[in-house]
Amino acid sequence: METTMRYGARKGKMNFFRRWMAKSASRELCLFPVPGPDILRIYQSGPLNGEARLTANPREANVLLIIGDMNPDMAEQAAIVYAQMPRPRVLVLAGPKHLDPLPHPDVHVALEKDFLQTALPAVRECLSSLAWIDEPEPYQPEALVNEIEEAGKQQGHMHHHHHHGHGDHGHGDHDHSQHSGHGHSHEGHDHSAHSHADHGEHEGHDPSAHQHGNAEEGHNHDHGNHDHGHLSGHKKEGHDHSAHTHSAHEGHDHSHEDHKNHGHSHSGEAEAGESKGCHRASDKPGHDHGTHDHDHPQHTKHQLEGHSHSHGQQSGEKKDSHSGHDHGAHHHDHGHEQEGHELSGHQHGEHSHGHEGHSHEEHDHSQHEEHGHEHGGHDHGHNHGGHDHGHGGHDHGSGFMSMIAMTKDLPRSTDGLPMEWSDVQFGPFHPGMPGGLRLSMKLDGDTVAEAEADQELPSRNLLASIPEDPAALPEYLEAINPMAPVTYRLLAQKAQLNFFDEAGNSALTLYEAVLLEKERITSHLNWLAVFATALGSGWMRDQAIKHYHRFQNGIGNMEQLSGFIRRIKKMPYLKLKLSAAVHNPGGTEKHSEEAAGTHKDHHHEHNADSHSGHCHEESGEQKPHDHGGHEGHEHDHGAHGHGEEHDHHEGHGHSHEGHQHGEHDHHSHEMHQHTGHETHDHHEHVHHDHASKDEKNKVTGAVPGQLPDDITGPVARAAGIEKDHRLEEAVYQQAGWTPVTAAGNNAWSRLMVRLDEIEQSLRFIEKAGNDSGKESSRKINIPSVGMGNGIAHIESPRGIVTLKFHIHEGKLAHMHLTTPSVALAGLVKPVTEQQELADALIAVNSLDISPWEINP
Amino acid sequence: MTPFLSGFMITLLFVGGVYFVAVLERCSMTGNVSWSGPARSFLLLFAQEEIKTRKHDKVFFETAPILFIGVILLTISILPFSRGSVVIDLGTGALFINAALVYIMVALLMAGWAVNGVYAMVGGWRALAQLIAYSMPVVMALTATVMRAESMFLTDIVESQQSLWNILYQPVGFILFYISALAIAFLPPFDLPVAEGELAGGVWADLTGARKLLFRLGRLALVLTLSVAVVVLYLGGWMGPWLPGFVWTFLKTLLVAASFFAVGHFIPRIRHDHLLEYNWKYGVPLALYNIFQVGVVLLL
Amino acid sequence: MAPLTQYLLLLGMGITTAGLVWMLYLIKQSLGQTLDEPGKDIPAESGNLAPKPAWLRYHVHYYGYALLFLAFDMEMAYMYPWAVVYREVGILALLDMGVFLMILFLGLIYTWTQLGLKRQ
Repeated sequence: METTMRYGARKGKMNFFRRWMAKSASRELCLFPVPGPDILRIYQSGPLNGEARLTANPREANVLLIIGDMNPDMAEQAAIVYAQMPRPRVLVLAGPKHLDPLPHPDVHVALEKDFLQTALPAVRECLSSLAWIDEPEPYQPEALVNEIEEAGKQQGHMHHHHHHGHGDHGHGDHDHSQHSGHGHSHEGHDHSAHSHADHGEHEGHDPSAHQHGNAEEGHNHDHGNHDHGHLSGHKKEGHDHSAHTHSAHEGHDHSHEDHKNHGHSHSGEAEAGESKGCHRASDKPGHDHGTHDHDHPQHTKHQLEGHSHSHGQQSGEKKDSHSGHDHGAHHHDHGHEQEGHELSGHQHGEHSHGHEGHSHEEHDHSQHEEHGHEHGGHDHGHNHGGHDHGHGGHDHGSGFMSMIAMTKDLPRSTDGLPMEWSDVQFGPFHPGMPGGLRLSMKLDGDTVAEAEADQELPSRNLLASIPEDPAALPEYLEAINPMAPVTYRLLAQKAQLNFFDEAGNSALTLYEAVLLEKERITSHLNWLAVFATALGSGWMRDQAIKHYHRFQNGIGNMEQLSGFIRRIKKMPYLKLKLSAAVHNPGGTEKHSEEAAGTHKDHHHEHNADSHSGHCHEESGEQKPHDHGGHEGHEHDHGAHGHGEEHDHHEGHGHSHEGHQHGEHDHHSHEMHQHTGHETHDHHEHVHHDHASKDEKNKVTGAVPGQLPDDITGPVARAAGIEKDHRLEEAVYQQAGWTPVTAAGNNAWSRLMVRLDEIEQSLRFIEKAGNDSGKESSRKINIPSVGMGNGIAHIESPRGIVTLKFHIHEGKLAHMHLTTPSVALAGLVKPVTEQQELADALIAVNSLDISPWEINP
Repeated sequence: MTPFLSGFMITLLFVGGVYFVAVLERCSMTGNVSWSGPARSFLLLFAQEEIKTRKHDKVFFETAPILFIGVILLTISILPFSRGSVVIDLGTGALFINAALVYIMVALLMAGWAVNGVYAMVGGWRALAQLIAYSMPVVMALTATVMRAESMFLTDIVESQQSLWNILYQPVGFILFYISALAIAFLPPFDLPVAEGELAGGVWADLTGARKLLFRLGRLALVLTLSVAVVVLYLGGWMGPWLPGFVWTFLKTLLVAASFFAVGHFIPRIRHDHLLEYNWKYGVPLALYNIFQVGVVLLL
Repeated sequence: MAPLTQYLLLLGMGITTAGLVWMLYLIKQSLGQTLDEPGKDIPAESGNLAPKPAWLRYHVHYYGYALLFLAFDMEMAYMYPWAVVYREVGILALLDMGVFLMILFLGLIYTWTQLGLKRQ
C-alpha cells in the first residue's frame, strides 16, 4: 500500500479539520467510468443507489474507474482523464493489474459482476485516510508529457499570434495549416509571399524578410504603387480593380474600358470562386492562368473569356474556382520576370475575386463609401495584413478594415459569413456517447460543419490475436464485444456448425433465438439509457437503467416495461425534438459528400484565400461603382448569402425585383447570360448559392432517401427497409415473425423501432415460453484436421453480423468479421451535417454505433 | 417585528431555503432524499483542488462566479418574505428583479469564455441565446403585475393580490413567467448551457473547488430566488390563513421549487432553435396579449 | 426606509458577498496548493487533449433573434413607468401603449414573414 494515493492525494498534513472533511467527503463518491457508463452497467446487477454517482466529466469526479483491459491508445486517453481530475482522486482498475501510462492503481479489483461492491469501500478508505499525504508525486507519464509538448509547440505558435493582437487568435489555426502547406513557395517568391497574405506563414518564414520587404523588395514596391495608383487614379472610378489595373497597366496600353471589362470578369470570377465554395478542388491547374501570364491586352481578353466561362460553368464549376489558386501560382512565376510590375497587382485583384465571400461585399461597400480613398489602404492593409502581422499591424489601423483582414481567410459558413471553426472531439469518454466512441467534429459556432466517427480507436484490439484453435472461437468472440457477448458467441458457434456439421445445419434453435432476443432487449435498453442521457431526460435514463438491470438479472417485468415504453412514446415534446430535423442519411449521402467536399475545400481555400484574400475589398468596392443599382444587388447578395433555404424566396422577393429578376431557381442563370455581365455574374453567384441551398433543402426535407446497402438493423428498418436476417431463420418464420419497420428515417423512428423491437422480443420470448427447452446438446465435433470455410450470419441488436473463417489443417488461418457498426459509422457525417450540436449528438446516438465493433 | 428579528428570520429562511432546495435538487437527480447529501457535496468541492485552465481569461475566470452569486443574493434581498420584512424594499423592485437576473447570463457567458475550452464556450453562447429567448416574455409578464399593483414595490404587488392571486388574475403571465424562470435558472429542460449529455457540464465543467462551489451554491440560491419571485408575483406572497406570513412564503416557495425540479422529468431538453423560435413566435405574442388583457380588465 | 439607505444596503450586500467569497477562497487556500501536473490545466474534452485555445470568431447562429431582441428591449424601458401610471391615466394609456406595441408587434410579424425567426 506504499504507493497508494501517491498520485491521487493532495499535499499536506492530515489535521483534524482535514480528516473530518475528507471523511465526510469520502462518502460522496463521484465516479467517472472509463470507457463509459454503458460498460459499467454490464458489470452491475442494479442501479447505483446513493452509494456513488456517475459524473459527466472528470473535473467533477473523485474516482476514475477503469473497466476492463484496453489498448494503449485508449489507455492514453484514460491517462488524460486521470491527469485532468482534481485531487484528491482515486484510481480504480477493474481487471488489469496495471495499465500504462496510468499509474499503479490505488484500488484493484477483478473484473466481475458487481465489482463495485468490493471496490467502493476500499475507495472510501483511500479518500478518507489518504486525501492529504506528505509526499504526493505529480503524475507526469512520459507519453502524456510528450503529447502535451507537441500540442504546446502548436500553442506556442498560436500564442505568438495572439500577441499580434488583432483578436484573431483563431487565425492561428488556419495559418498553421497553411504554413506547412505553402511554406516553401513563399520563401521562394517574395511575390508570392505578398499574395499569400497570412499570418501563419509569416511566422513560419522569416518575418523580417517581409518586414523589410517594404524597402527592398520589388513586390512591396508594387504594393505601394498599387495603392497609390488606387488612391489617385482610382478614387473617382470607384472600382479598385480597374484602378488597379490602371495603375498597373497604364504603361501597357490598357484602356479604361479594358479595365472595366477586367473588373467585370473579375466579378465573374468572384462568382465562380464562390461557387467554388461548394465545389472545389484546388489543385487543378486553371486555364486562366495561362492567359494571365501574357500581357495585358490578352489579359483583358482573357478576363472577358473568364467571364463567359463563368457563365458556362456556372453550375458548380471547378475550374474557375481554381483560378484563385492558379493565379497565386502564376503569380509566383511572374514575380521574377516582372519585378515591380503592376501586373502582379492585377492578378492579385483577380485572386481576391476568386475568393471573396459574398457576405463581405456589404462590408466592403460601406467601407468604401465611407473612406473613399481607403482602397489603397485596403490593398495595402491586406497585403500587409498578411505580411506584417508581426509588425504591429499598422494596416489594421482602421478597425473596420482589420475585421476584413482578419476574416479574409476564414471558412465560410452556410450563410456566407466568415467564421472560424473549432476542432472538438466528443468521446471516447463522453456522457452522451457510447463509451469508447469518439466523434471528431469541426464546429461552426454550435453547428456541426463536419463530423466523423473515429475508426482508429479500437477499444480492445483483440482481433490481432486470433486463436489458432477453432474450438476457442466462441469464447474469443464473446470477449471481443462486451455489448453483445451472447450474440457473438452464438455467431461463432453457428459458423463452426456451418463448417463442421455434416448436415451443415446452422439454423438457430428456439432456445438460441430466445437468448438472442433477450440480449436484444438488454442491448436496446442499455442504448436507451445513453440516448436518454443525450436527450437530457433523467427520468428516461433512470427507468431504462432500472429495466436494463431487471432484464439482465432475468427478473424483467413485461408489463412494467411496456408501461415504460408507452410513456416514452407519449412523452411531450420528444417526438418534435427528435423528428423536427429529419436526419435523412440515405438521401443525403451523395449531397453530403459533396458538401463534405466543400468543407474540405474550405480548408484548401484558406490556403488559397491567404494568397489572395487581400483584395476582397477591391471587388467589393468595385461593384457599387460599377453597376448602377447594385445597391439592391448587394442586398440580394446579402440575403442569399445568409444561407436561406428555398422558402426564402418569397421573403426576398423585393430584392429581386430590384434586379428585375423574377425567380431564383437555378435555371435562371441561363437567362442571365443575356443580361449585362456584371449583374449577371452576381446573379449567377446568387443562383449558385441557391442551388446548393436547394440541395441542402432536399437533404433536410422529408424525401425518404436510399440508405447505403450495407446499413442493416434498426437503422435500416427505421427507414422502412425490411432488412432482417431473422426473416431467414426457421424459428422466427414458424413464430410468424415480421420485422418492425418505420418510415421516418430519423432519430424518432429509430427510437420507435427499437422500442417496438423490445416489445416484440418480449412477446417472442413469452410465446417461446417453456418449450424453448434447454441448450441443444448437439455436440460440435471438431476434427483436428481439415480445410475449408465457415460462415454464419446473425441478426445482432445493431444489425447483421457476418463471420467468415478459413480453416487450414485444423487451425484457424483466417477470420473475417463484418459488423453493422462499421457501416453505421459511415452515416455519422450525413446525419450530423449542418445540425446543431445537440441534434448532431442525438442523431449519432440514434444510430447506436458500437465502438467495439468498429475496426475490431 | 423588530428589524433585528426580521433580519434573522430572513437569513434563516434563506439559508434553510437554499439547503432545502439542495436536497430537492439532489432528490431530482438521484431519486432518493438525502439530508446529508448536499453537505457532503459541499465538502467534496471544498476539499478539491483548484484547477485553472491554461490561458484562461483571468478577469472573467475570477469574476464570473462572484458576479453569479452576487446578483442572486442582491435579488433575493429585495424579495419580501412577509409583510414588512424585506431586507431592501426597493422602489423599483420589479424592474430590479429583471435587471439583476440578466447578469446570470453575463456570468455564464463570462465563465464559458474564461475557461478557454470549446465545450464551455458553446455553453456560454447558449446561455446568451437562452436570454434572448426568455427575456421578453419575462419582462412583459412582470410589467403586467406592475400594472395591477400600480407600483413597482414588490410589497405592493403582493398587496394587490389581496382579492385574487395573480395566478388566477393573469394566468397567461404566470405560465410565461414560470417557464421563463426555469430558463433563467437553466434547469432542465432548459439546461442548455450546462447540458450533461451534450457538453458534459458545459459552462461550469472545468471549474473546480471554490469556483464550482460558488456556481453550485449560486444556482441553488437562484432557484430559491425565482421560487420566491413566483410566490411574490403570482401566488399571493405571504398571504394565507392561520399561519404566519413567513411560513406561508416558505411553504409556497418550497412547493414552487419542487415543481421546478419536477418539470425536467417530464420533458426532454428543449432544442436550442426551438427555444428561440417558440419564445418569439408564441411567447412574445402571448405576453403582449397578457398585457392587453390585464389592461382591459383593469379599466373595466 | 429612505431610498438612499436602500441603495447603501444594496451596496452593503454586494460588499458582503464579495467578503464572503474572499473568505471562502482564503479557507480553500489553507487546504493546500494545487499540484502542478502536465495536462491538468487543459480543459476537459472527454479524454482528449484540447491543445488549441478555443477563443475564436464564433458563429452565433441566432443573430437574427438578437437584433429583434434589441428592438424589443428598448421598448421595455418605457413599459415600466407606463405600467405604474396605467390605471391612473386610463384608456388613453392603453391606446398610447397599444399603438406603440402594435408597431413593434408588426415588426415581429414582419420578421416572421421574412423567415427571420429561425436559426441562420
